[in-house]
Amino acid sequence: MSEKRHGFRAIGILVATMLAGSQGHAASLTNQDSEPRTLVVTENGVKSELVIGAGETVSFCATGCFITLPNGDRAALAGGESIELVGSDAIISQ
Amino acid sequence: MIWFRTFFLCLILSILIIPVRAQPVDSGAETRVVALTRDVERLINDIEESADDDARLAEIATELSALQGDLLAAGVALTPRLSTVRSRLDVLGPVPPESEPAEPEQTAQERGALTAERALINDLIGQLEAQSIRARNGVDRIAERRRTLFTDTLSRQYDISRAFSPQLIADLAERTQALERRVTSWASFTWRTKQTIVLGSAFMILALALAAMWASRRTIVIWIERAEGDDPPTYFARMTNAFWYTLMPTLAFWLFLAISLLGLDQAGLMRPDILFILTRLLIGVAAVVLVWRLSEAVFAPAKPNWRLIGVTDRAARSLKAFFVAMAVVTVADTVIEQVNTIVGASLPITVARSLITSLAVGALLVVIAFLRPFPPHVAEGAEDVAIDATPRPWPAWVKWPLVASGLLLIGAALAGYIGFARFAAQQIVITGAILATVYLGHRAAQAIAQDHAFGQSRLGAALNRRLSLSDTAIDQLGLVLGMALSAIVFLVGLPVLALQWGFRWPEIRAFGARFFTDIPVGSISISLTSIAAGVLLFFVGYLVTKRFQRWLDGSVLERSRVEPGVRNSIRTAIGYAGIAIAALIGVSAAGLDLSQLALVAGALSLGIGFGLQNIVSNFVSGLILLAERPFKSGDIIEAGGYTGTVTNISVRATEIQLFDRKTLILPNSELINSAVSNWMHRNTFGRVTVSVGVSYGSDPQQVHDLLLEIATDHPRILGNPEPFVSFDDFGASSLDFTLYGFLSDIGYGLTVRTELRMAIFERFKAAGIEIPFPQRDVNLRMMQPEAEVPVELPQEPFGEIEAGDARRPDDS
Repeated sequence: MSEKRHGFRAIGILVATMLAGSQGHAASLTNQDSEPRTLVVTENGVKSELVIGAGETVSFCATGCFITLPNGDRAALAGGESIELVGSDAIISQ
Repeated sequence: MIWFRTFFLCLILSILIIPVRAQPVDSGAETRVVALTRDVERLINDIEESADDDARLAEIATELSALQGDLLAAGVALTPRLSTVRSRLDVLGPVPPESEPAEPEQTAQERGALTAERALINDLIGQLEAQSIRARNGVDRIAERRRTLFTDTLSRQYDISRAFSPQLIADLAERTQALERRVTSWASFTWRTKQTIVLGSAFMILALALAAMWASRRTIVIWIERAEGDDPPTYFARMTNAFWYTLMPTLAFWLFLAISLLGLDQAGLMRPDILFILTRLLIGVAAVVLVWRLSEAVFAPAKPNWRLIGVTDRAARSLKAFFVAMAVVTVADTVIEQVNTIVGASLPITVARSLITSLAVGALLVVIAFLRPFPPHVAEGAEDVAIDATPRPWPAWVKWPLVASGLLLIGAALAGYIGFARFAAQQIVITGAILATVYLGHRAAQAIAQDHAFGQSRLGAALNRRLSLSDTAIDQLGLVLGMALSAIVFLVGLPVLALQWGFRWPEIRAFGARFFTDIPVGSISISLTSIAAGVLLFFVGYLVTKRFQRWLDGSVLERSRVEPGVRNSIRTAIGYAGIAIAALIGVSAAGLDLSQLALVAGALSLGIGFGLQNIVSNFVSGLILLAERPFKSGDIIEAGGYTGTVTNISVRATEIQLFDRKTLILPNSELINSAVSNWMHRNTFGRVTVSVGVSYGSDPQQVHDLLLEIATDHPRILGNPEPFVSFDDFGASSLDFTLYGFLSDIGYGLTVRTELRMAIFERFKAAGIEIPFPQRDVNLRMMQPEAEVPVELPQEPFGEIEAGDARRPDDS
């Protein structure tokens, strides 16, 4: 069931991104960790902190943003990426 | 051959190696970051320098917003490299502690290089982020500054009497001279140096104008022709005509202006200041032309049949004139203002110009408000309309706001609040124009969506011809088009309105993006695009299912000689499965979490189990019917006290066509839970029986043989199993026989029985065999033979139907 659901969601996300086209769609952030993490997000020049609980998924950064990951690394997102926090590391995929 | 292999091996190896040894971040990235930083720096400094120049501030804000995008793009370009570096560092692992054996020199070097690169990229992205914050602060400061400037302009009071002083005359003369000098110096210089080019250009423009006029005579004028007829055209026809009537000549004219201007510029005849003035002037002319065509299209003073708004002829003339006048005043004001930036601004001229504009617009608004545009009411059925009946005025909700805004403009201008009055006048005119356009677009959309309107349009007719769509389909297409047009009109009109009222494009875009992708409702957020994607996916899935169903049924199952019942079952099952899958995909694409849905379904299933017991039971019964197939489509069955042909087995109910052409919709659970007799189960083989009695005088053996002969002669009665005749009984007045025959298709039972009886009657008659019927003697005993009983027959066979009393004969 779980695999099936993922399959559906993958198709859904695929088509949604396709339809959204070049328009920056919000990036999604998933915390795979067992404890909450804090990210510094600068969107359109406004800096803010984003706290994400364990296992949560949030969508943020609709128009692109700079982020500072928990391990101190920085990244710039165009929107539409998905980020997974694992430990202090982050996996950013388009 | 071996070369090829080596080559491919090398290629694959190099591909594998590249990600690991990817190009380190190049110095180009650093220079780009430095350049972007410098740009931000320059613009921020510019803010201070042009603190009083509203237009320049707006430009800087736009540039800074654009820079935001560049900064982000530079960051996005750097980010993947950082991921690569990090993953490579992870592979290398941490520096081994002293106790462990030392790692190879190369590894230590690579780690050092990667760590340095990681720090560099982080630093660069950090710089970009800092610049992004600076740029944002700059934009905020500009917004603050512009707000102050704006309130200053609006609240500043001028002394009007001082504006109309000799100073004004002197300034005007001086500015006119300056303009004249510029134009004449340019003209004489150009004439002296580029005489041939000037002549050539003039000729070209003339030729272009003539060609454009000729072409428009041939095409546009015919296309937009407003034929005078007795019957007014339909609203939709008027609407589309008004659209093209406005658009095509205006666009043609604009194109002509643009080409001429570009041509002159390309020919090297333009000086920057002259080009600026000419461009502004031509844009102004283009705007006036647009308003003129639009008001002509809407009011059509000379052609009442084509008028879009039901106003009187006089009002149409006045309204058109007033609207064009308003456009001319506003455009002239703007053009003079822009020309003033070239020849030098002057306070008296600015005040005088703004005063005149505000007063003119205010006065026009008041005049329009007091027009009586609508024709007088005509009493129902009144033949002659009084000539002197006064037309009706605007409704109060139009009239009084117009009066109020007009008076406000005049009052503010006379009180010296010139800045405010001019701002308000421009806003009223431009906002009014945008709103009027949006309204017309909306009305056009409504007109398309009306019944049968689209089918009568050229596009609808063409579609009808090409795709041979049905009228209903065209009508529905019109409805969809109308709704789409409405949506487009509002999606374009509202942002334009927002821009006019001082919102900035990035803000509108961000709002739009959020509106379409992320509407927060409580803790969840709804995304319109996702929902649209979900709906679209569902329909795509539905269509694919239908298509697959048709293909499977028509191409595969039919060719492989599967019996129709099985085909029907398979088709139905695939249809439901496909729709279920499409719905699941649609729901998940719309962003609904299926696991949450499952939770809700689990919680509610008990309640659903009670409430929807019957439906669920029917549904499951339907699935069993499809799988087990006790009967199939086309079978004649008896169920629930009815007999009929099964036409369709769906999941909830089965449709049975009774012999009197009634359709019975029988819930499936009835068919599962109670006895169903199927005349055609597995085969359509069946037996017919016909009973007949003959008189005691007949020869039973002859009757027996004759009956058998009749059965054998009938083409539909099978020879094997052979028909037989039973001698049933010695009846009260007859010898009773029964004829039994077998049919390969019991569907013909009724026909065969009838034909058999016909044949029996004829053959028996020919053979002299009597079919007896009970006879009864009736003895009438007359008590009063002389009494006459009056009998009157009614005129009509059934008498008169309406009046019941009329049927009864009059006793008196």
